[in-house]
Amino acid sequence: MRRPWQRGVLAALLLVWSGTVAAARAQAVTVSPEQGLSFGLLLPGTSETVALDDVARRGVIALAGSGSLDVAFVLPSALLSPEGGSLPISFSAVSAGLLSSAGGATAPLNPQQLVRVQLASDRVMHLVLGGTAQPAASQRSGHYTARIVVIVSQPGT
Amino acid sequence: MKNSLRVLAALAFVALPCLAQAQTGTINASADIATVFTFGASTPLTFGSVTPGTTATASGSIAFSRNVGVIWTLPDAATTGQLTGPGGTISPTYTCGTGSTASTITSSFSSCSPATGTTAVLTVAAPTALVAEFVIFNGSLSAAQTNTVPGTYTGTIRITATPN
Repeated sequence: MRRPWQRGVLAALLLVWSGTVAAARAQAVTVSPEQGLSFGLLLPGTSETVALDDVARRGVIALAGSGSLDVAFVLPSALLSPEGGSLPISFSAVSAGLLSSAGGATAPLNPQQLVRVQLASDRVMHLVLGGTAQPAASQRSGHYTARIVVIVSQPGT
Repeated sequence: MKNSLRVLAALAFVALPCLAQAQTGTINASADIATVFTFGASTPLTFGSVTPGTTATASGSIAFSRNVGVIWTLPDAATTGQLTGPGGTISPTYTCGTGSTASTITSSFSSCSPATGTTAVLTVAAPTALVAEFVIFNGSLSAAQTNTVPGTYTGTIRITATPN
């Protein structure tokens, strides 16, 4: 036989838990990589920058959900080739941006810092990323790649 | 505490952090470094005005840049660098090869007048960096060769580079 205070605690916990779950579900965020950052064909010794408005080459990650979101980029310092070659790349304080709507303005973000963005529940927003590749004059020909990770979390978690 | 309470408390502590976990997304970054494989400026091999019955020498070169290996061939084979003019054909004697400067051969071709135009006269593996080099031909004319009908004698040295 359960005592009244136990039933009360049980009910309160259920209320808090279910409410929190509902809130968490309401603020669920979907992170969907859409396009890699592609510097394209480069010549040794010639740097190349992918701008944020370069729709064909910039990196794109879609964010769906609502509420505030903390975004952190894990950025490589170089692209690597299967043969072990290294091609330096760099990112500036305005190499990333948040695109709120298709064709709209891009709000610059610093990809080197944790940034807070506000999602809109009625549309998908896009994180976009540019950068600069700096092949050395002695850079060997070949295909160079690296992975860029975006970590998103809700503030306070 | 009842078992149901314990389970519920455990669920609350376990489930909530899971729902609030950070998410990650990954995109690739990529670049392709182009193959550099190109001829540059050339310096003609000119014997100049030669006195009949005397020897003459000349040197010519063409710049070449590459970041891959190369196979050198001379498509004109045995007629490479022959000069023709009023007195017929003159075949200078050549030394040839590549070098880091336009004046000194450091890697010699196996022949400057190979038997066939597809004979590889020099095969070089891919370098570790971009290479700027020169293909060099040094020519000489003997006294007997210059003792001929006066006039202008011209020819062409054709060199083929194939990525290796």
